[in-house]
Amino acid sequence: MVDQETLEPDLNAIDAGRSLLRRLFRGAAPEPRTGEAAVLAFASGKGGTGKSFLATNCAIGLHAAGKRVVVVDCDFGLANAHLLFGVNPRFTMLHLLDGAVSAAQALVATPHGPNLIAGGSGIASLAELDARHMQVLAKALHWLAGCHDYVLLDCPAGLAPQSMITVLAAQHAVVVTNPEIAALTDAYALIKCLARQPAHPQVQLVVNRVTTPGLGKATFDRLADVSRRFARCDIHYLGEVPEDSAVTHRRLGQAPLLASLPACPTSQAIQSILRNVEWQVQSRRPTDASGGVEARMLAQIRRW
Amino acid sequence: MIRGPVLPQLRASVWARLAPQLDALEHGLCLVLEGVDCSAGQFGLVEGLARDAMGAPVLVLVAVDGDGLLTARVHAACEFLARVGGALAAAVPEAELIAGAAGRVLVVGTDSGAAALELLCRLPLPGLEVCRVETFRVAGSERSVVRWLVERGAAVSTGRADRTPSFEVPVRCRADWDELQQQCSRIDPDVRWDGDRFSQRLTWNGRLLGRIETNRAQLWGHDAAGFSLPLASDLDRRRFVDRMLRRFAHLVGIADGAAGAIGNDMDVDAVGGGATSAAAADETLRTTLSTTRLSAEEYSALGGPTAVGSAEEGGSVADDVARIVTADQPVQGSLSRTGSSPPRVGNGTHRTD
Ligand SMILES: Nc1ncnc2c1ncn2[C@@H]1O[C@H](COP(=O)(O)OP(=O)(O)OP(=O)(O)O)[C@@H](O)[C@H]1O
Ligand SMILES: [Mg+2]
Repeated sequence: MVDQETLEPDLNAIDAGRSLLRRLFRGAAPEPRTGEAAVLAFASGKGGTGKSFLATNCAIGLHAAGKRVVVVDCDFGLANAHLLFGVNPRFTMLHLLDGAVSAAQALVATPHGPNLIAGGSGIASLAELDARHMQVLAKALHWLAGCHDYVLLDCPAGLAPQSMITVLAAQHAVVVTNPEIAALTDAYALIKCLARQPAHPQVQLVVNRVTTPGLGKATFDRLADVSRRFARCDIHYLGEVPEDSAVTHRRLGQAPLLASLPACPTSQAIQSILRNVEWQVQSRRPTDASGGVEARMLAQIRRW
Repeated sequence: MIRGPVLPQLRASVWARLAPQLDALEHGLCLVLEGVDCSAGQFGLVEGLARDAMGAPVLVLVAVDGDGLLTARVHAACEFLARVGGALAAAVPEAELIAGAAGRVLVVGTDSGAAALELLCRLPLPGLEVCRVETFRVAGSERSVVRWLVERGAAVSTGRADRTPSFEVPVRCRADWDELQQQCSRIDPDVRWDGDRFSQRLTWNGRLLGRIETNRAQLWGHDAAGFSLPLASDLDRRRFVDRMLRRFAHLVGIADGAAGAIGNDMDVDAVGGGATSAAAADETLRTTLSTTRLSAEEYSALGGPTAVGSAEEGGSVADDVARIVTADQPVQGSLSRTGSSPPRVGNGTHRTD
């Protein structure tokens, strides 16, 4: 395994350039980060609700707002974040978890700004990941959280223990659902599972693929009510994203929506979600009691 | 003047060409026995008994023009199937038919049987299928296409070669197939399915991504590199779609060709998984997952009156949690990168899409 320390300066050099630009244009030094990065897990019970789409586009929006962002594609079976970003990384999660490369080596910059750890090309499934692999992932996340402002985890759908461990390592679980009942029920099952854990991230909800304005809020209200009443869990609303054929017909390799059509209603909806994300993150800076992403993940691995 | 032996000879020669390649008519069609007497010797022998990809019996006949007994033989074959088809699995065990699978009568003809086929298209016989094989030469080599004229007793309106019978999916695999199609459609708007009743090719702008085939009432996925896996679980399906995605990415040049090997699952052992304890902090993750159930009140509150019909569907998540946690869990080991050993079916990951 390559020593991460020796590779960190490379990334710092990239960031030094970026912070110089920031200083020139904004006349201010980059805010020194207190504690670790905000770690957000994009999760869902049902598959195909739009986690990867949202995670990649949110990353682009956060980057445009001057944040250092990394997307970690944890969807081992159907990893596609690198395709959505249009990059072809040499090393992926597979190499990282196998100990062949460090997180710094697996990290790539995407054309639209955010950094990426690509999903494990060749990892047949989540079920292949054992406690040791998850420990490697915990270490890698710790390192990534140390040199980014936001770590966005694109998690696999469903409730496999490996997936839950990843979600539970985050400070915020961004549950992505669609308004239809099947997705909603599965989102609730996920929230209920999260709420039953001794320590769980704050649950935020995005309702994606909304066909009528306001349907997202109505969906949230129902889910929030059920979550409060039955699972004793408070969830927070980040916003809704409209059903948009420009998203569906987007080809892999094409620039992500927020980069190519920043003014379209869907991009605007994502920007509005990002404002709520930033607000939630600011008002919910983790206390050191949780011990950081690595500690949170290790605690879950021990419970496995 | 046509002498007696000419007709049988023509039939025999057409059959001799067809018999070894029944699989080209329809994926999985396999000749098991030649010469079936369905009419107590009255109208001559049916050319062969075949087994299709669903394990059902198929009586195959050859049509040549001028064969005056053809129609009677076809009738007799249809009646024979209706009478004893269900018992063929037991009566002809070497055919390895699946008991209860509905049989069919398939009449095949070439140019030499065009008029006879035409005639059969007007026969209203349930379970009858008629197809015509048209051969042509490309760059000196012989190729053929199959035109389906009658499917399951109903004449096909166009009879064009691009009109193939719709893909037949084993009942228990229907949900998987729907899901698979949906996931593959997300690869790119230009991916297409085509094929025959028991085999479908997935292509992108004419380039092969992979194939799905029915084999003994089970769906199998094959990627363009020849890797095969049975699609018996959500996990298998995801593996297959992942392979399709990587192949696509390779074709459009946005990822390397190393399709990432799939398969070679590790042997597994349980990690943790102790008994449920009262204090949540002492519970294992899998215990909390397995004991999470949604109540009828929760379903109803989530969907109001509309949730009633959806409860079962939605219930899959929580109910299947039990499957996740009782399934094997992996232990220490390196991740697989080569598809050397056969993939394990139905291990512990669950997704609810
Ligand atoms: N707002 C939207 N409008 C239209 N189509 C959308 C929208 N959001 C996502 N999609 C489409 O839905 C499909 C699934 O999206 P995506 O891959 O992001 O889901 P996912 O939750 O990451 O899926 P998986 O569970 O398989 O990882 C994609 O084809 C995407 O283009
Ligand atoms: Mg995804």
